[in-house]
Amino acid sequence: MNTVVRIENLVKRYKELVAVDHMNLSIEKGEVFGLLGPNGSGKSTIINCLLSLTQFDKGEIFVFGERMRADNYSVKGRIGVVLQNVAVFDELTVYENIDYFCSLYVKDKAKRKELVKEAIAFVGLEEFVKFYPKKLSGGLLRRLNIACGIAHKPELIIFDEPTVAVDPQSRNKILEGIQELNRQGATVIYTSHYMEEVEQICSRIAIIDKGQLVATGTKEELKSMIQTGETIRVEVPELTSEVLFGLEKLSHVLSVEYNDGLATIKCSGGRHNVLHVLEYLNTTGTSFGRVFAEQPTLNDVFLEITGKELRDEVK
Amino acid sequence: MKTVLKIAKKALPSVIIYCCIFCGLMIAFTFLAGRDQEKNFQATQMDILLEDGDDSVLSRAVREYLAAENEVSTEYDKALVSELLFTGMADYAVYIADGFEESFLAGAEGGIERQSIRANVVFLDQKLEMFFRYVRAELALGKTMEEACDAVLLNCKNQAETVVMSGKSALLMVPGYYFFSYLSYILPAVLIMVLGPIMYAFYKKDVKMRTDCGYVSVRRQNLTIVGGIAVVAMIFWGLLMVLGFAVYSRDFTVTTYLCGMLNSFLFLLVSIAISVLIGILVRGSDALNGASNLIGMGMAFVCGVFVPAELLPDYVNRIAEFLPVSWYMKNVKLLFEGDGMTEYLRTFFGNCGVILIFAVAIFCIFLVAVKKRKAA
Repeated sequence: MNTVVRIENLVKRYKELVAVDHMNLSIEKGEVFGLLGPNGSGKSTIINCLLSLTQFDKGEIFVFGERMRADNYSVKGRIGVVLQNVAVFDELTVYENIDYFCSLYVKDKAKRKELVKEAIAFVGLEEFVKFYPKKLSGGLLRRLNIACGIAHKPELIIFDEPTVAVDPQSRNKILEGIQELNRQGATVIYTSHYMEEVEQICSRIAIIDKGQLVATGTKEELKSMIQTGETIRVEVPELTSEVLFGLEKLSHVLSVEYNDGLATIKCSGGRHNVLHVLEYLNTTGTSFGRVFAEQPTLNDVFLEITGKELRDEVK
Repeated sequence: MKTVLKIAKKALPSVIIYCCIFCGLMIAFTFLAGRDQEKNFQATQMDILLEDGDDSVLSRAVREYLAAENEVSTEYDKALVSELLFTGMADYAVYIADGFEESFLAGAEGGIERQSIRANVVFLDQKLEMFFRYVRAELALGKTMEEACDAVLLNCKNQAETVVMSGKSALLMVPGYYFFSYLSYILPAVLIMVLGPIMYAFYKKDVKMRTDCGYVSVRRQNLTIVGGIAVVAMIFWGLLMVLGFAVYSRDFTVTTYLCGMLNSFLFLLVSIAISVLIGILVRGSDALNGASNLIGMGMAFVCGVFVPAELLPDYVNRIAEFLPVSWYMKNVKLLFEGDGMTEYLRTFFGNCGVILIFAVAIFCIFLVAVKKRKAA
């Protein structure tokens, strides 16, 4: 695999605050690479450094094997950007907006016309080409934002939280579109604080907290890094301390919590964890209701590594 | 460039409104200019015939009061009064009968007869009634008739002084003067409306980030914006120049017109600098409209475009020195007041230099604002 992006020892400070702290990353061609972290963890700062939109204090960034600089236009021409906020001209129609941003990369008018048409079809805005952005709904605006970033068919596309404040239907459409772009050959960097999205579309994920790289790998690799292999939740109206103690003593059980009639049992990887737990409850004569068994999520990974929930806001 | 022009086109309805106001003002002043405004302000004196049959303090005061602003004749012949009034030899006749003061003090209305056949002397009737009311008011304060009459007559003399401006510094300029004067209002007002949205659109943080990510260099992007702005501004200025020449060419000599063009071109640069600065400082079209009115109208008023600077308080004129419009207006006055431009050329070009310095200074502030915004 070819390395598309290589970030070495990147440091970015805003006065006292270290936004990116000695970050090392490598993104390979054809990947959908997810940058996952809570708000304020430094994801957008990494993207801004990568695009040379902001100067960094230390480190090196290489894109397509070339050192990334603000004036490295040959590299910039191969990158597409979909920023967190909708960045379009209110004074131009949908078509004119896409055409303008495409013109920043493609000078040939005939070729550009084709590309703009394809981008409009890709995001499903055919019926809205003559609409001004103010007439579009939030979801349609996001699609326009994406079309403006991908119309020139870039090899590397950066999506910086493109689904913030988007309805579920538009969100699915956006995620499907990103996967389709990847299938067409684009390498994708996707930043989000929604773990479900990252889990759904990313082939490799970097978890970031306080500007530091916490872990990186495929979702399976990340989940295997933590002890928790399975979380079992059982509705138990009454749970005595003896039974609770007995549950904790079962093999593969890492911890047991009991709150409001719900027992949460975290187990290490094992094939019959649910069976063992239910058998024990039966033998102790403990009545129980519904049973849920879940594989670990990226939130569990984040929680176990950093000691806090992924959606905790940075204070 | 195409995008710049498309954004500029959006401001066309507002530009048309401004241009209509501009043309309306020009037409109005073309009509008014050159007319002798001075005589409109001259007090009209009435020829009054007066017979004082009472010869009291009050009747003498009435005579003095009327004589203050009118021509009063005491050659009153009762048989000839009607004829004199009819032939226009006299405008107003007043007969004060014996015992007038006594009946006045008794609160009666009679004792004075007034005659006229002209409608416009109603004003004199009203003035006399007012005089009597004042005297009664003074008497009510416990004054004697003599004191009351003296007080009222003194009070009548303390009227506001009316200064009638004359010469070319007043409203006597040729229509071309108003054309160049009002350019200093319409140029910044319209350019803020047109160029402001362009700057706002291109320097909006997210759009700027996206364009900075593009294949086109920042320098080239800026050149495109500058080019677009220059085209829009030049088209507008060019149209105004053509309009001015077409309508007012009889008012200009070639030198006057060329100097006026140079002066307005330099002011165009100032207006562009103000517009691009406002465009990146202000957020939203409503704020741009407000800024356009505030800056366009504000500078025009303070710098003597609508009201001659001579009529403005000194402190306003001192403030105006720090605004480019006042230097532009100084040049406009030089163009139309001087008998020949040659003697004023040095002053004219000196003022041009000041206008240019304003343009450069405002543009430098714009560059600093851009840098600050980028760093934010």
